Amino acid sequence: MRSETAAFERASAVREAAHGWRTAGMIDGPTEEAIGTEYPDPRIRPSPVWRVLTFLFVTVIVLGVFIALSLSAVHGLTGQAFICLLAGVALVATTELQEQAPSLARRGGAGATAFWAGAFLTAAAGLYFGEILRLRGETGFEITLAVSALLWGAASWRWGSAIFALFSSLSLFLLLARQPYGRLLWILLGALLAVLSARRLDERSWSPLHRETAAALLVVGLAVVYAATNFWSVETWSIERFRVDFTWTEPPRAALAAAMITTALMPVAVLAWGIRARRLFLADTGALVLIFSLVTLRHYVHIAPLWAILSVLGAVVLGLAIGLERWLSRGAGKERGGFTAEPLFSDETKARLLQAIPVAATLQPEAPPPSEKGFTPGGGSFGGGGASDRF
Amino acid sequence: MQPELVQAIGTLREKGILPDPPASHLLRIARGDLVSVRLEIRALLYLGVLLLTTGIGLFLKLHHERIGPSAIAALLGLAAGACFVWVVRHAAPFTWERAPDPGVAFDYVLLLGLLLVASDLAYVEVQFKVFGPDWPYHLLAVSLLCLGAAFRWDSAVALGLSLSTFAAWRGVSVNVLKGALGPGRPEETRWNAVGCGIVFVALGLALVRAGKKAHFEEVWINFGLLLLLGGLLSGVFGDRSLWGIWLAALAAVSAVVIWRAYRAGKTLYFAEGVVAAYLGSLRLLFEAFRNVHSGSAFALVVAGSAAGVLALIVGAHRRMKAS
Repeated sequence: MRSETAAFERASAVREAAHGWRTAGMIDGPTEEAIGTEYPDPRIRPSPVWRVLTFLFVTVIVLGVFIALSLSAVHGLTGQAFICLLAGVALVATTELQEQAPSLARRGGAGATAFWAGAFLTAAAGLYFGEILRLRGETGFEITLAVSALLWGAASWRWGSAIFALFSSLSLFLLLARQPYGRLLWILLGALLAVLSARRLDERSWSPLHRETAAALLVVGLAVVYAATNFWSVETWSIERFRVDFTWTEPPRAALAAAMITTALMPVAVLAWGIRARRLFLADTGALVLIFSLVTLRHYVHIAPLWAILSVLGAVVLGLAIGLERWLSRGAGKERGGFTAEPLFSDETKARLLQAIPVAATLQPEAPPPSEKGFTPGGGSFGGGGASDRF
Repeated sequence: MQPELVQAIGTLREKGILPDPPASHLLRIARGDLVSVRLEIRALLYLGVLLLTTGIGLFLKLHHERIGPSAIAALLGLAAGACFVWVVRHAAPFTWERAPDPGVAFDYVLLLGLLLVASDLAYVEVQFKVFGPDWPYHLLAVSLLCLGAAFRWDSAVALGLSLSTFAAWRGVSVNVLKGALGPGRPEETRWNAVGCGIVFVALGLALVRAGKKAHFEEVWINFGLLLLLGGLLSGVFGDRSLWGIWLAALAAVSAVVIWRAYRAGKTLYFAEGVVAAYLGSLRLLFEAFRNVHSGSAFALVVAGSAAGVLALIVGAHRRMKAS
């Protein structure tokens, strides 16, 4: 990342925090302005709606031009690979130009061109190694995965994107899954990635975007280790199946026993780590893998019918949430152990309005089918308000 | 921890820009010594409601014959009643303004109560056929109940459920991910979507003008625009004979939405208008290139038109920011 961009990102972190303090009523307008003067960031940063809109239309432009070039001036795979390479390089240059212009750097256009640069360069590598050189077996695909890991990794480092780091790590671990001892490599490199990333979470010399990337990679590392040690994954050889020469054998008993222990303990350990370190993204990761472990348990042990499990779990989760809020709110200063249920600096009004979106999207009732001649009532969707299933 | 913030708070305090308090409190938060789990609690509440209602739905599906309709209806009613008792005990007094925040759990307990009542009503309808052939009317009843709850208890969640249930009564699905407006005949569903959209937008604007629950504006207008623009787009791409009229209507509505949103500084409405207008214009391009067998020319024109829209977006943002 350019040193100037890193400096702007640091200033931007302070300015955004000051805006949150003002929204929460902790500072007044003149103080926010004074902080803005002290930490200048000349870049124009529109709201997320503008950025998404810009991203979409830049994507349409990039794809339109690419398709036009592909259809008119290119014949054969070599030509396609060349056009992908050309488009990728041009988009890298375009991204760099935008990054240097304060009026363009954070509009959403640079993100779009950076994303398509990575996609086209990866596609160019895939076409070249897999289709043009026609490397033996799956070698072409594996080289493409390696190139993809390097490209997205470099893009992430240069432009400070956690999403590109996810693409890079996905390519890397897919490549490792296809190697001998892939599962062992997942565990070792996943753990290594987690340890290295965890050390950089508070690294002062890194820009906020790079620290976000470190947090994302820590989650990836933990997820990879969990995926490699989950009981179902070990029993079904889910990672080994990525190899072309995979043949099924009985999983070793010792591996299954170890997987049983890690499936049970790892979610608890990650959750405890997150709570102890007061890092919510870690606690959230722990909660998520806990859900996966419960699903794994349900897959093998049918202790009760599904409806009973869902109802009891739902009631427990609801009770836990209500109890947690009440417990925290009744602590001294409405906090306990460094945790609070108060919103701190988030815009609570907006959050309450935004709640309507997932509810309407997932819990809305099914629209009834049109009435036919001779139709008899009672065959429609049960559960107005989306509450439940059909009879 | 946020190292920039920790350092900045110290510097700002030294320079006298940031007084203490709140500097030491802000420093605690920047160091990660105090964190808010509000988002996590909200996610847990949503998950709990989702799991519980799904579990109850499955239970009813499997055992409704064995337990008997009256017992099930009574049980659901009791459970919903318990939720409403909790809601009434924790609710703030009614106001046409924004009510004080009753806590993060409030909306979800209300939601659970409403969903249980909705299930109960639907179950009673299926078992006892109260509305007979007009059985979808139970959706209207649920929608009105949710609307009442939204106003009484100042809940955007209940309002969202009310609007989506009202649309479902008219055979329209607000879930854009499904890719279709609803399971009914396209022409009828399209008109219903447009009608619902107009009603929602009009009611939203009227309530804002009257100063009654004006903070619900975004829920009314966004749902309304989604249905109105979605219905018009469905006409543009689905009606083979009258697509030109649908396109003209879409262009007119989008222009009004874009202009009003631009004047009011409402970026989300502006974006919805721009995207709808652009998608509609693609139909015109498809028609123009129907007999021109040049994919590359078509792609270039699409890219060029997108560049034009992008220029409009950048210009509009600049002017909205300046004003």
